[in-house]
Amino acid sequence: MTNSQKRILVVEDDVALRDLYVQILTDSSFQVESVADGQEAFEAMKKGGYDLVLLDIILPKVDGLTILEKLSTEAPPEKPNFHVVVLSNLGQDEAISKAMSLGAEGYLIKSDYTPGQVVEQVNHFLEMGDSH
Amino acid sequence: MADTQLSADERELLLAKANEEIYKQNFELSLRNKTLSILKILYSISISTLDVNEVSQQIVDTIAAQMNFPAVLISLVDPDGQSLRPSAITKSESIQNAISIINKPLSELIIPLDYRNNLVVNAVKTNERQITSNLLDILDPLVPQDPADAIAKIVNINTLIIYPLSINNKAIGAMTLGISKEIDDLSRGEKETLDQLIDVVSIAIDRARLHQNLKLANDHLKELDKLKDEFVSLASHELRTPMTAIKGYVWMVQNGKAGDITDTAKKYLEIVYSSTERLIHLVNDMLDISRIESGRFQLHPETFDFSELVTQIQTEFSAKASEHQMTWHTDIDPSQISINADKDKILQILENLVGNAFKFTPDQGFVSLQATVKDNFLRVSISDSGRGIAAEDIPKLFTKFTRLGEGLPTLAKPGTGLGLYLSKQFVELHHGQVFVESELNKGSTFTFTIPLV
Repeated sequence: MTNSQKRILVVEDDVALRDLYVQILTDSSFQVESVADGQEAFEAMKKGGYDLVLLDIILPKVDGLTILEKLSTEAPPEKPNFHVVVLSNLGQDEAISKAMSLGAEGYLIKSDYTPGQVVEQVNHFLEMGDSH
Repeated sequence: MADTQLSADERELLLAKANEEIYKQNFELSLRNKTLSILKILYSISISTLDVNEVSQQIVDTIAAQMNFPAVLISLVDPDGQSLRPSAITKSESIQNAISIINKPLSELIIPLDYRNNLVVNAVKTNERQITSNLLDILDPLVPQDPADAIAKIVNINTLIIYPLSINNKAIGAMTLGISKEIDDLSRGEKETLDQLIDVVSIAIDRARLHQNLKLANDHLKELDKLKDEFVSLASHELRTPMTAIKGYVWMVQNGKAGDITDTAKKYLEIVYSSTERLIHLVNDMLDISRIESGRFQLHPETFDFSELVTQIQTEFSAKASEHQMTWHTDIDPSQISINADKDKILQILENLVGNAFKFTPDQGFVSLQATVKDNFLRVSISDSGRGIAAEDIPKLFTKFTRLGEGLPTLAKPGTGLGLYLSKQFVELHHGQVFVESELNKGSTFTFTIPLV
C-alpha cells in the first residue's frame, strides 16, 4: 500500500500544531483527517478504519486516556484502527504507562520531534505491520 | 543467753513483731517488683509507634489491671491550650454504664482550662497532685452532684488521685486514678509506685504526640510533593506546546516548506531553532529533576549493546569535530558490551559529557571516548584537551545551575546548568559512580561506571 492509501487521524486541539501535522503528513501523501477535541476523536476512532491515529492526551471534553479506555472496554471500534500512537506534551510516567497498557504502541513527546521526525515515526509504526 | 531471761509472753510478742516486719518487707518487696514490671510494660508502650489515643489506652489499661484500680483516666491539654480532653479511660462494663449516664462520648467530655473548680484543671495549672473523695471535683461542670455520686457508686470509686503529666515543667495533661480504697488505706509503697509511674507516662504520651505530629507533617509534605509534581507536569505541558509550534514552524521554513529564504534568514532561524531546543531541554531537565528529587523517577532498563550508543555518539559529534578541526575518536574494548540499563538516559549522559568536552575545548584540540569493562562494570571515560577545571571549582561541578562556562568563546552555546547534575543523578540511579580528573589549561577526564546487569 502506498502512503496515498493510508488513512491517518490527527487528534490535536492546538490549531497551530494541528495545521502543522496535517500539512506535513499531507505533503508526505497520506490521507489525513483531523479532529480538535476528545469527543470528536472518540467518535472518529469508534467508527475506526484508520491505519494510524496520532492521539493527544490533554484534550477538551474527553481526554486521550479516557478515549483509549472507552474504546478498549465499553465501545470497541466498528472497524479496527491499526496503530494508535500518542503524540502529547504531557510526560507523566503514570500517563505513559496507562496509555501503553490501553493499547497505544508508542508515546511521543511532541516537543522532542521536528515535523520531519514525526513523519519518520509515522512511517516507522506503519512499517511495523498490523498490530491487530 | 538473753532469751532465757524473757518470759513466754515476751518471746511471743517479739516473734509477732518480727513476723510483722518480715510481712511488711515482703509486701514492700512485692510492690517494688510490681512497680518494676509495670515500668517495663509502660516502657514498651512508650517505644511503640502508636498514636496518642492508642498509647493512652494501653497505659490506662495497664495501670488499672496491674494496680487493681476500677478507673484510670488520661486527659490531655488540647493543642490550642484552651481545654482538657480525655484521651483514654479504662475499658469496663461499669465505666460504660457510667459514661452512658453522662450521655456523651468520651472525646466530647471537654473541660475549659480556665475552670478552676475542676481538680483536673487545677492539677494541670498548679503542676501538683490533687486528691479528693468527691467525683464531682473531676467532672464539674459536665454533670451536677447527683449523677456524679451515682457514677462513683457504679464504678466503686472512693478516692480520686489526680497526677499532672508534664514534660520540661510544661503541663501536657493529667492522669486521674479512681480507687476503691480510702486514701489513708493506700500503703506508702503503693504511693511511691504511683509517683514513679507518672514520669514514664508523661514521656510515653509526649513521645506518641511527637511521633503523631511528625507523621502528620510528613503526610502533609508528601501531599505537597505530589501537588508540586502534578503542577510541574502540567506547567511543562503548557510550556512545551508553544515551544513545539515554534520549533515545528521554524523547521518548516528551514526546510523550504515556505519557499526560498536568504542565507541571513537561515542563520537567524538557526538561532531561533537552537534557542527553542535549549528551552525544550531545560523543561525536560526540570521534569527529570522534579521526579528524581521526589523519588518518583523511574528508569526503563533494557538489555542492549553499548557499542550502538558509541557509534551513535561518534556520528552525532563528527560534524562538530570537523567544523572545528578537532580530533574526535571513540574506542570500545571489547567491541561489544552487553548491558542492562536505561538506554535513553545513558545516551543523555554521553551527550552531556561529550557535549561539555567539545564546548570547553578550543579548535584543533582533541576529544576522546573510551569504553571498557572492569569488574562487571562498564567504565566510560571522556577526555579532552580543553581548558580544564580549577581544583576549587570541582566540588561545584555536579550541583544544579552551576555554570563554569563564563568567558567561553562565543561559539559555545550556553547550557542549562543542569547537565552534569542530571548525569550524576542518572549514573547513581543505575548504582554507578562519576569521577573527574582535571588540570587547568591541560584538559579534563570525566569517567562514569554502570553495572553491566
